[in-house]
Amino acid sequence: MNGWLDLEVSGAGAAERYRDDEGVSFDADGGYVAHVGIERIHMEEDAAKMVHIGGVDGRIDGAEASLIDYNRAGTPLIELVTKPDLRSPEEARLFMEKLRQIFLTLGISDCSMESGSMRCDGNVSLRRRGTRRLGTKTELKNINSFKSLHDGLEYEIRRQAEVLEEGGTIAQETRHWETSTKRTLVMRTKETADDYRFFPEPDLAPYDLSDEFVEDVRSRLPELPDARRDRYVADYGLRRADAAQLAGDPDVAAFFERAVEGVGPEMARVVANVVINDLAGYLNANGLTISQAKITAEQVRSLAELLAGDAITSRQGREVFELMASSGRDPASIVDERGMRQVSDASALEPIVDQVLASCPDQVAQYRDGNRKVIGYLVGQCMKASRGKGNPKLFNQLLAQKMG
Amino acid sequence: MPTSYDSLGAGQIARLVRDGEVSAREVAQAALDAVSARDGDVHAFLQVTPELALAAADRVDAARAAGEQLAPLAGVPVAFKDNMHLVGTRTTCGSRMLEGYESVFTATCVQRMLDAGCLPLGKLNMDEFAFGSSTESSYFGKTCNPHDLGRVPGGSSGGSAAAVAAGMLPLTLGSDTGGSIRQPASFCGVVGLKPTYGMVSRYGVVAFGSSLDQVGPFGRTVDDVALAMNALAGRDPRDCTSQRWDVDFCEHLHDGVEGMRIGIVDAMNHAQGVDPEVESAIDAAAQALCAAGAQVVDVELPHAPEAISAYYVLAPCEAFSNLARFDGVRYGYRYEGARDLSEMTSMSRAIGFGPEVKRRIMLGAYLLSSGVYDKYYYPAQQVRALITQDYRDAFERCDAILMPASPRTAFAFGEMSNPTQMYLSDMFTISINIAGNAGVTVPVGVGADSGLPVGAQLVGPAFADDRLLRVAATLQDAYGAAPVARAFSGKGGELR
Repeated sequence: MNGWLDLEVSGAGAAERYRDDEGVSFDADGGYVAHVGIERIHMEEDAAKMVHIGGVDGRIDGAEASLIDYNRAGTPLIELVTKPDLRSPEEARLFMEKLRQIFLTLGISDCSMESGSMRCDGNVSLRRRGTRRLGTKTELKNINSFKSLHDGLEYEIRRQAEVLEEGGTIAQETRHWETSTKRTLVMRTKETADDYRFFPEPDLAPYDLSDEFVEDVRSRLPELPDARRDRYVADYGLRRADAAQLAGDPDVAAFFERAVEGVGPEMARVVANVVINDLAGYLNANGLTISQAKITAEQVRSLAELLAGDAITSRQGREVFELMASSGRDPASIVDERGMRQVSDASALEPIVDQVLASCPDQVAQYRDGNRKVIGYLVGQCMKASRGKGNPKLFNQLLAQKMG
Repeated sequence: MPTSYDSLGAGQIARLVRDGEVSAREVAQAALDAVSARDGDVHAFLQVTPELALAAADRVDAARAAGEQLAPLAGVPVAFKDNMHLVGTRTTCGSRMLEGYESVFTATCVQRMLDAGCLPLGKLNMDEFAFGSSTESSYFGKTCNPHDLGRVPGGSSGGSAAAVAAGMLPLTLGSDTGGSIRQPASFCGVVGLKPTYGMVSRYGVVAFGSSLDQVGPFGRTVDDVALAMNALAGRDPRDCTSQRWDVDFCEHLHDGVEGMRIGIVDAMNHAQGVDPEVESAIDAAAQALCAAGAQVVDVELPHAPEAISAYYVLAPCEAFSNLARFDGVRYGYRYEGARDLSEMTSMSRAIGFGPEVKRRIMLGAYLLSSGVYDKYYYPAQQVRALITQDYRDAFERCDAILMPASPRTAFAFGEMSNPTQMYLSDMFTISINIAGNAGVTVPVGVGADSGLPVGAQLVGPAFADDRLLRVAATLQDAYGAAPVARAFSGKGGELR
């Protein structure tokens, strides 16, 4: 049985992949699905963690001393090797991102690259377009973030390409990604490479896992990110990318699901927007995780209700969100206190509309001549006149009515 | 009237102790007397433990005095190959590397013999780290074959076989990775069983080839070996390859072989390199089984000749890995005066290990290195699967296979100077470790030319070791129990 992960690559990152690659079909927006095979997965126990003191970048070369942290001893770890299926730094980054999402969802690791609970080495080997055989590979170490994985691979691909274009050969070696200078340096060559002489543990007999056992484990797995994404799309009509973003982090997904409990798809989409745009932005800017934030799912839902009911404008919504996030207060009380509640009563807005139409005869004439875009300017004037409280949709409607 | 202790088997000793005919302490004393009278010539023991034996004996006697029911082997002396841990003893594996190393825990197989009431007499000589077929590679000197002191006892469990053959004690334990129980049993004219892999826990036995190693007993009768297996067999949570086993080895031991089919692999029994005296002894053993009501059938093991090649890939790889722990830091010998860690480890291993150990470590290091691994290790595992299938197919057609335990009788010291020649002396035993099933050596008289003991090997399917011993018991009925080597019979160790 062969394992694999499918990566959905879209946007700017998708442009990193060579267009004429066989076996990949690009959609209208240039996105594609990369099928990444798993070579093997094994479990082992960490022996210890080595810490090198006094060198540059924590490297062993030039270090004054090496310390061994045995607190790590016995910690179980999983090592996973992909087949040589990744074709761009972006795919490598997405692959790691996807693994991280799965492992977080499974609750088996906090997957922090910074603290070393998730690590990766990248192997790079090039081949000329149209040829099959991969060239000599180099291995990249000291990758401590998804970004350095991407940048390190990008650098290494360019470096190898330059060497090859100049007629040189690639030496099999392990290279060290130096974050400060953004380049890779030789760490050890093939001659000095460790040959671990791995072989199947002879003290353990081969173990046939029964179908019942596999099914039992499968039945106890939590809902994985892809399945959750698909469910969000099906149940709430979320955009695929939005659904994926929510489903990727189990804490965010749980927050979202609390906020949309019992609501229909329309409300759910508004909640999703608040979570993806306002909440994610806020967390990012403040370096917080969702569980550290003061905001509750119930508050996000009330905010969404205010937005959906046109009680406040989306601009006001952002403002309320900021206040809510910093104070932990309920959105309704913020809106009331600030007198923000959007006016959606036509009889209250009509006088403003009449006043604006009267003061802008030129624009009215243009509109009547067929320049329908000019209505935006008029709505703006109405908003200004209502000091931002009028419902822009209703202004728009009334303006069109009166000029039509 | 005084009886010589060496005329008694384990079952008989246990019965006498249980019936109060003799005390366990008297047995222990007689055994210690026999060892001191005989082992000067044989050198089977690396360490004799009178304190442990007498203390165990006193516990048996006290239990009997208190009216407690005695364990099945209460009062029976036993000794262990020196790769088995027993607290209160040194465990050296016959190596300078572990000279003076004191066990810090007790192996499950050893503990089970003690729990069955056995009296621990000491530790027995072996080829260094069990690499060898003659016990000549022990750092602590060679062991002599009690039947001819100028000859080897076989190996690697040479001490275990020789101690029983010389009548020093009725039971010993050995370990068998490629024939290390069955070949010395053959050379010394005693019974030796390599149980099915997974039958006996390996916990506390210094590992050589983890997928091949198995612990088993030596005795002068199949009955004693069956008694020992009752104590040894079964699941041990500390060895995940060990299996549950609830069958009594003794219950049907003498039910005979009427209707059983005994397989003969003609190509093996008459292969090149088999001495004529061994060939004819095995032919005679087949006739003896026929006379007892078995039917002889021809079977084939087409891949068995490749077993030695596969073994000398797999076993050194596993040994290389297992022996990596002897780094001069954690266990045993450490070279003093090294300038740094690397030199300390290198020099400790250079001085601590003997030549055969180094040869196997280097073989393993080479075979597992990248680029070489795919060429040797995988094909060897494939051969392993084929051999295992050969045996399965063969056992569709027969209940046990009869073959020699060794192509020849005991050789003289120094006669096998070429390692490859030594490796070939395991040609009949190795495929059984490769396949993981059981094999037992039963003495079938002496060779017509050499006058030295010849052992027949009976090979059985996996986890049918009780039935295999039944066939062995039938062969024993035809030839009689293995005698104590003539030069030692009755020498020291009298019971009143």
